[in-house]
Amino acid sequence: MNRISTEEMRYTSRLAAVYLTDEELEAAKETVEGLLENFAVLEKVNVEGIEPAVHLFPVCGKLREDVVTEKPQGVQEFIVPDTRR
Amino acid sequence: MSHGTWSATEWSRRIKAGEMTVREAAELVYERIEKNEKNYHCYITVKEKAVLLAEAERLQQRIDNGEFSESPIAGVPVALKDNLCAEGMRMTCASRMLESFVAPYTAEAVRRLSEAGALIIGKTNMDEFSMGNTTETSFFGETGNPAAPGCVPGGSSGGSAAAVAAGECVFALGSETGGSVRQPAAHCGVVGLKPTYGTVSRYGMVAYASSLDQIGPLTNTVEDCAAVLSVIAGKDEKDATSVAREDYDFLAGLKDGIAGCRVALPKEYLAEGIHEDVKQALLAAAAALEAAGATVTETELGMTEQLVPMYYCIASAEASSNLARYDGIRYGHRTGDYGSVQELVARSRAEGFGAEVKRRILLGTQVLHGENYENYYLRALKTKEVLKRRFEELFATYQYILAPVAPATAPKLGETKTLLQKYLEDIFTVPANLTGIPAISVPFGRDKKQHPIGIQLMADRFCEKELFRAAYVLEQAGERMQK
Repeated sequence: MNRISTEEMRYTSRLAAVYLTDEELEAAKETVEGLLENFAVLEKVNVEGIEPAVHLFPVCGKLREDVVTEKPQGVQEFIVPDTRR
Repeated sequence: MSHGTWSATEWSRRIKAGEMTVREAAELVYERIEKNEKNYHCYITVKEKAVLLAEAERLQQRIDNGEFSESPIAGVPVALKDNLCAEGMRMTCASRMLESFVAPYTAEAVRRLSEAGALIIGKTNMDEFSMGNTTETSFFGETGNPAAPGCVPGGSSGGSAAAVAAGECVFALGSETGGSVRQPAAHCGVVGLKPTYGTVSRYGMVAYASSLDQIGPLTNTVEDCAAVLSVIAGKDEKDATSVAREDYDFLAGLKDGIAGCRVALPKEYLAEGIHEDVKQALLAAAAALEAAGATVTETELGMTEQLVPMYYCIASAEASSNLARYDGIRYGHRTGDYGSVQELVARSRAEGFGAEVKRRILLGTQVLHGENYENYYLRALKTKEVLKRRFEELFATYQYILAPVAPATAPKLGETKTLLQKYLEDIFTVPANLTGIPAISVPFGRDKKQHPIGIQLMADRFCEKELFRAAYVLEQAGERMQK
């Protein structure tokens, strides 16, 4: 099993911007380790020469006219005062 | 008036023929909500009765003036999963993070429903940010299963499925990333569809994993499902992954049958790990398709042990990116306990998100950073390409793939399972999400406890019409079985 150090998990939680207590950190480490262990079966499939399937269909350079088509009224009243403690 | 025998298309026909009013339809559904909601908790937000009835009256006037004459769902009460924006309505994603958020605009699929004259009742319960398969991760509490007392409705669109099953709406919209429409549909004994990726605009749907997410209908009948899809499907310039289809009349040819069609039944799906009642239903479904003139052939699917790891690796990676927007600064939950901006963000997210959401964000972040990106995320995407090619091979020979929806019927509320056991329950649904193909769950029999079983059909991309045709055959056979 690829072990994850406490330091690495702490780094991951910083990248994820999710505060974890020491206890939560250890629990998360164990959970993520277990799941990554499970992901090891992906290595059984031969992917040599295979491009990653980022899109299922050809999707490239979809552009539209730079024109405002929707302008919700009073967006700021909806959004900003909603931030609560 | 009996609800149980009516479908959305039938209710709409009666409303347009003057045999029923929109107000009567709304009152009938509201009566069900008032009676059942305390038992099932399908909804997070329900419109006030007076508001709903006033909207019903306005809708009735428009129908009387000749509007919506071509709509198959005019006047019909509909529920929306609470990850779909409807301007002015609260949208929580069943999370503390968005507990008091009000949507400033309307999702494209919801706009299309309104333009077709549907009457929006409220927003249904779900797993938090669509992460889960029991609706138990909701910040607002669990939902009960009207078709299987004491059991979960499935998830993450559990509230929508339960609302349809309980008569608390006539149809509903849910969303899928890894089976979240089909699985609750199966557990609640209703029809649930995941369309081909790109068929329904994702504009206004809160993103979980953008390359997999798709809105889908939950209905009482296959015909209703086709009717709703014909309303909500369509290319949308506001969704860059939205695809233009040649034909949106999904009702055409619904009853034409499937004589001469070929159906693949993956051998792996008859192996261990599937409950005996579900297996028997699967075999009975195969027999029903053969009786309708199709040929069912057991075939090897392959890659079954990679399906769930592939899904969770990709979905959690995308989720870690999509949910980065919830930072407590512009909107959403904000902590009162911080000393710096970084702490404000980290603690807001720690407080705002539930355990499963945090778990998936951390997993997703882990598979994306440093060497892990190549070893896990890119590898999962390459494996997904191999899976896609395998399905293309299958559809060169077969028109359909027959499968269970879940390994067993609805588990009990609060049933203890390991995380991996819960994740593995998605094994039959995730292939359709990973490959983008359409898939539908149709009620087909019950287990020994009389809990519903759903059977799944998959078809090639953009073959919803063919899919509905086979689903209709299965639905009719399932109903004959119940009599």
